[in-house]
Amino acid sequence: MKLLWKEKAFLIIGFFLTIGNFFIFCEKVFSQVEIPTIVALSVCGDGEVTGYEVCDGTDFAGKNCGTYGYNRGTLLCLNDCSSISTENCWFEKTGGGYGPGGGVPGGSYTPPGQTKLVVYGKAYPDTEVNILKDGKTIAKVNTDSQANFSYQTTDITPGVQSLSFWAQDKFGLKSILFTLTFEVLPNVVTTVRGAYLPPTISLEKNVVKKGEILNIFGQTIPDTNILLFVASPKEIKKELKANEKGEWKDPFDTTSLEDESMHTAKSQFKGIFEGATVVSSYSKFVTFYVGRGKPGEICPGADLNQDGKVNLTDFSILMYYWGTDNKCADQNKNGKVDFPDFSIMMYYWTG
Amino acid sequence: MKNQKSKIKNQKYNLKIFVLGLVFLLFPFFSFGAMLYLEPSEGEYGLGEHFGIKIRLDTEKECLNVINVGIHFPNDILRVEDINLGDSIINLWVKRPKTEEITEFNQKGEIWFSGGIPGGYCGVIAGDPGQSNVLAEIRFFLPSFLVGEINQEELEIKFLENSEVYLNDGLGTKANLSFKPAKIKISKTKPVTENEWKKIIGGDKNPPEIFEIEMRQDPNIFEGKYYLVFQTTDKETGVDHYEIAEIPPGKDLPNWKKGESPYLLEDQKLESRILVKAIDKAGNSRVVELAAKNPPTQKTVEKKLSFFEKLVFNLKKFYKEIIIIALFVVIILGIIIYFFKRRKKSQNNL
Repeated sequence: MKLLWKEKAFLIIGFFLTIGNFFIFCEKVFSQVEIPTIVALSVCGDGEVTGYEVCDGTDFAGKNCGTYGYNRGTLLCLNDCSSISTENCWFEKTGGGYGPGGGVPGGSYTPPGQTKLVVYGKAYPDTEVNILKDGKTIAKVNTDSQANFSYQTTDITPGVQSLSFWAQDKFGLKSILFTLTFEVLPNVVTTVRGAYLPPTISLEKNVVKKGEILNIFGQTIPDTNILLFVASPKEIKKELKANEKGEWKDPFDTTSLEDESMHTAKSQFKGIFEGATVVSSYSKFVTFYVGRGKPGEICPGADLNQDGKVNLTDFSILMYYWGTDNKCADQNKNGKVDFPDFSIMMYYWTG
Repeated sequence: MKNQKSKIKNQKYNLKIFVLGLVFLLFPFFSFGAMLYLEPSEGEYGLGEHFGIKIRLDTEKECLNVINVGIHFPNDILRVEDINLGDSIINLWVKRPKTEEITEFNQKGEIWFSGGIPGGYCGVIAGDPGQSNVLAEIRFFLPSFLVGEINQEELEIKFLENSEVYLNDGLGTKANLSFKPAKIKISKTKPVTENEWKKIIGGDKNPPEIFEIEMRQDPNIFEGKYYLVFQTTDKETGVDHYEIAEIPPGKDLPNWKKGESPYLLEDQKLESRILVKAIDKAGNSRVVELAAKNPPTQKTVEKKLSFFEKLVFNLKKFYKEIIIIALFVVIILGIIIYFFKRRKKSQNNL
């Protein structure tokens, strides 16, 4: 079949468009290559070494007592699959070879038997982390001087669980609510690592004159890098270092920002944990106005009853005003209380 | 005539090429954004068969916090039997599909539900044994009485175009969204398999999760009247509905009424005990009690009660003392009767 010149032209244009789009696609994909927060989940008791596990059931990832210089006995899998014990291994002289029965047993294991959840994460040094299950606070745990925290519970129903975390830093700033959704299997230990809260962020003031210095500050994990983003017509990105207490501050020069307009700032941390470079998710975003002034906000941060918390009560208030033009519940000021307002509430949730 | 034919042929070619060009042009737009899809995407079912279609969300590396999803199904052939919310990643429901709405779903051929995830949902975690991305499962039934009435061999269950999901960005931004429907083939010969949903319901012996009731008063809500706030989940078959009972002083039996949070209290004097019952699809229930905030004094209780209620109230309150007195009276009477009879006997003997 012979193609008409129009058809040929169309196909040629189509071909080049495809090539062009392929490059756009590649650019989109590869320009976004920033190592994300590594959240990994492992199931202790499923008989398979996964994630951070060193053993699971009779699976010792190819190790046995012989690996540790013994020729008899069995390895033990301990501490929710995080360590191997050789206390049941021994050496027996049998004329140069292995004793009766031959070989070295792989190991023995007693399944944990109960449903257990263990979470490891990082927030801010010496603070309290609030833990929420399905949006409701269930526990509070403390962090150490290096911002580490852990939480474990056996009071958990198998099934899909949503666990959320938030903390307040030394300046009294609240983090974003960091949520992990995953399945908890019955009668095994589910371990989640990498619950890393993004930095806190705040501004010295909310209204600045163009050219004025605006201090942007917050707290994060000690000795990590902070990636600061300020949205203007073109996004400005800066990298700075948090000190040994995790505090960070940037005297931001507003000269390059557009006058008489609103701007936003947000941050991420970048650090090396357990040999991997980790970049957190974004912090809460903060807004400021460059110019003479801006109108005050009504019910900021979806705290509809102004009690300092965003929880079921605020959700109830939102439901009450659903479909109306209530000024407080209409968070995005589109004249109607609807899904965007609900989305803003989910973002600011504290439980 | 020949010219006209070739003209039509050319037009068809041009149309094909135009569509092809459009696909080339739109290729990158199709590659990004969240996706709502149905699972299984294809299936063959026999008449009289019960089956489930899961509604799943692929975040495509976005963090999402609100969904508002509409599903369309051919209601002339398929019947919605129930909706399983047990595996749902939604924690807070704006519109939770309820059992009592199933008739309406079947009449309209549409199901709408919406809810949110505090802090957002950012996709499946590495190592998660499940996919953990189910929003809901619709349980369908293909009635067997349709034999001979079915003209279509293939049915489509699809998302309604105005379904939406929102980014967890604090701004209420709508996410780019694409949809993947499910295609169902009807077989008149395929043997009917076991009703899996019935099995799941039968196997669910656990009540919904423990929850708390909060009593609130806000000048801008319900004209400043007291109301209740509550919410829970059920990990197996999902919460079906809530029932609320306000038990006035002196009464014991709860008068259950269906309700949702926020719930306006009838007793604004707060003298009643409050019970909230969460019931799952399998009928398991969990009851949580909130003590009366202003329990009336004994005097007020007595004043309000009728004579009979007062009698019952006092009988219940002093039943131990009444039993002891009654026993004492019986014993005394017994002794009196015994002595009376003995005396009578001795008189007769004389």
